[in-house]
Amino acid sequence: MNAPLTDARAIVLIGPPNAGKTSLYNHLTGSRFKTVNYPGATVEFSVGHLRASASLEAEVVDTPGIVSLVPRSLDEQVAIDTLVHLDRIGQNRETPDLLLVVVDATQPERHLPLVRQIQRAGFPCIVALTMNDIARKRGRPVDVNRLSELLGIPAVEVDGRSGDGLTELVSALEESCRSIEAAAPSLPESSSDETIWNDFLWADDLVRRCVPPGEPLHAKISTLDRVALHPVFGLVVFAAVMTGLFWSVFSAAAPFMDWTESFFAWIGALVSASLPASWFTSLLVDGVIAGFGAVAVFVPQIAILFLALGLLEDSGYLARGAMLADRVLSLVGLNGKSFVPLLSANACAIPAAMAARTIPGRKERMLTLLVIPLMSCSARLPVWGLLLAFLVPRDKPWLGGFALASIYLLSLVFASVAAFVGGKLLRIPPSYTGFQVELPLWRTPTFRTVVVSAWDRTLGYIQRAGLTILGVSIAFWLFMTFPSQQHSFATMAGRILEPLLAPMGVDWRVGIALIAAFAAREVFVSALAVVYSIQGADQSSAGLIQAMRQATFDGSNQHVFTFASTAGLVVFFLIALQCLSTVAVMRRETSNRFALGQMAAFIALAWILASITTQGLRLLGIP
Amino acid sequence: MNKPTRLSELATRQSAMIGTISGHPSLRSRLHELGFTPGATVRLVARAAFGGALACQVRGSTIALRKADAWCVELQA
Repeated sequence: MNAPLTDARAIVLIGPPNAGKTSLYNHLTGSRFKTVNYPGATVEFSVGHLRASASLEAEVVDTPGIVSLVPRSLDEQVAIDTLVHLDRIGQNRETPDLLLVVVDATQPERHLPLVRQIQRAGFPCIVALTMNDIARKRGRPVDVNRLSELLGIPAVEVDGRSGDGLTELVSALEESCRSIEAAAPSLPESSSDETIWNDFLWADDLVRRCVPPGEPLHAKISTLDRVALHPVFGLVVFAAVMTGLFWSVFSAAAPFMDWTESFFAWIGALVSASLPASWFTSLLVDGVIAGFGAVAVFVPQIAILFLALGLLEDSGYLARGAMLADRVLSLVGLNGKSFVPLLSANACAIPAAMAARTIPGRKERMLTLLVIPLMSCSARLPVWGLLLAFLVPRDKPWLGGFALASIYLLSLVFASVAAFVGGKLLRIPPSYTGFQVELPLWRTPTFRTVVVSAWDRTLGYIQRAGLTILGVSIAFWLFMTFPSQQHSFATMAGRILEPLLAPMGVDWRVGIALIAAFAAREVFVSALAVVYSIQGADQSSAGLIQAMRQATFDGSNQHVFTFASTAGLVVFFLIALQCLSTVAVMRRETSNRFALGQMAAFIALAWILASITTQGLRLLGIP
Repeated sequence: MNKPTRLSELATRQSAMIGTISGHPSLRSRLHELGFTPGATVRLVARAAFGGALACQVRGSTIALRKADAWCVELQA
């Protein structure tokens, strides 16, 4: 099949996990995708226009890492599909014009066999050799000219971090794209044990001829690994890292949260003082500013969570964490490869569900997807912040950190039980794929990478949540105000729900805020802020808490937010799958049946367990 | 002292040469592809607590794998 020569070329970046494909892609296309020191960081392909060349018109495709041309997990399948089904991702040809195979110079013995497989399959390709600077520093650089000679294809050394060697790489791409002959590549169905052995022997021979003799780079066991992987100290480090991660979210964010809070209170006061009292002022102050301010307070916590996760990602610790977590995760039917998806689910379930593609076993992957929504995502942080104010005695604020830690622990308990029970109920045959992960070299996190990625992720959060909150706050204000404040639409809806809310020990106002939370969980906070603003409190979050403390059931002096009902709400938010975007992603990653069943089950369970918590506490004499 | 016959029995920092790989076909191929091939040298770097995963060096890379997977890597006598 002959590709049309007049069109833009299609170049696919391919290579083993963590070889540096995404860094190169960013340099070639001028994109700013997050690069991470964890094998399996990319789970989806991306397409970008080649900007680094003036003369070559080409589209560049970044792909998830592969170990061989025979895929064993969904992310590998995504990569392999780009080699033969480019037409499915909007290109006008099936196979790429050129493969840019990315090889990590610090482990040529293990990365070069893939080059041979690709050549054997008949793909036109050239090699980009990354991390040769590290290899050179340790006295074992790859002689790139010799490698090119032996392979019979161009090979270029390039530094993914600094971009050194990019010009040479681009000229090699231009040169190769000028002289492409029509190729008819075909993927191997499977590879026999002997083929794999021979490819490795071939690679060993190649390495002998273009790398100075000596110990491979990984031969020295780094001091960090001696500690981080030690049977005893390893667990201590693991516990310390996880505690530090969540502690920083709670305590380091505190001053920033105070500032944000005062800022929004000031804006609200300013607006109500400078505008005449009217329905519009009320909409602006009670609806928009109160609603947005109630959630904006929690942005510092979310930013710090993203920052801390970024530091872990860039250092190389994540793969070590996965190794240590495998034992415990396997007890409940999960896998060490579930660790990173579950950890990132503490930020957001959506990228986490996609990261689960790296789990090769179907059953383990489905169970991971099942429990991902039970992790306490960042959208729940505002809810915890608000509810904990009722659970923690006012004279003992230090209990707050402890209470938040308990919430995270509780989410782990629920997830373990759900995985275990799900493993029994979902009739998926077990897979025999075990657990293997490459441990990348440790590296000092680059300040820039970590900060830029945390900034991008936080900004994304603000944009997504901000728009939803703005819309919902306005809609909510309308529902609360019309036809009249005493008999609004929201009151009517809340009344209908009342029988369901009674066991949870809350009133109709909480009920409508729970419904609003289906737009996004943090909307629960802004919705309550709107409810109580309209009923006459001031705008800041402290004001909201004050208003909630005074709230009583209509026509009685019984308080709505007691220890028992608030604890019930915490349980509800821990379990309920209210995020419709998560359901949509689950649908795409699994099936309609799984996603809808998961949502129904988690909402029903949340209601049942929340009611049991509230009523149980009351039976124990706790109001 | 008996010579270890499987990767899972290797002591920390001990090296050995790989013999054959047993186990389920899909696991066997993946172990091969990761570089666990007959004749390659493997060295145990660390073991996680409570019978957890093992970290070992093979062909210039460090790979962590479950103890049960390591059991499938037989060593040459």
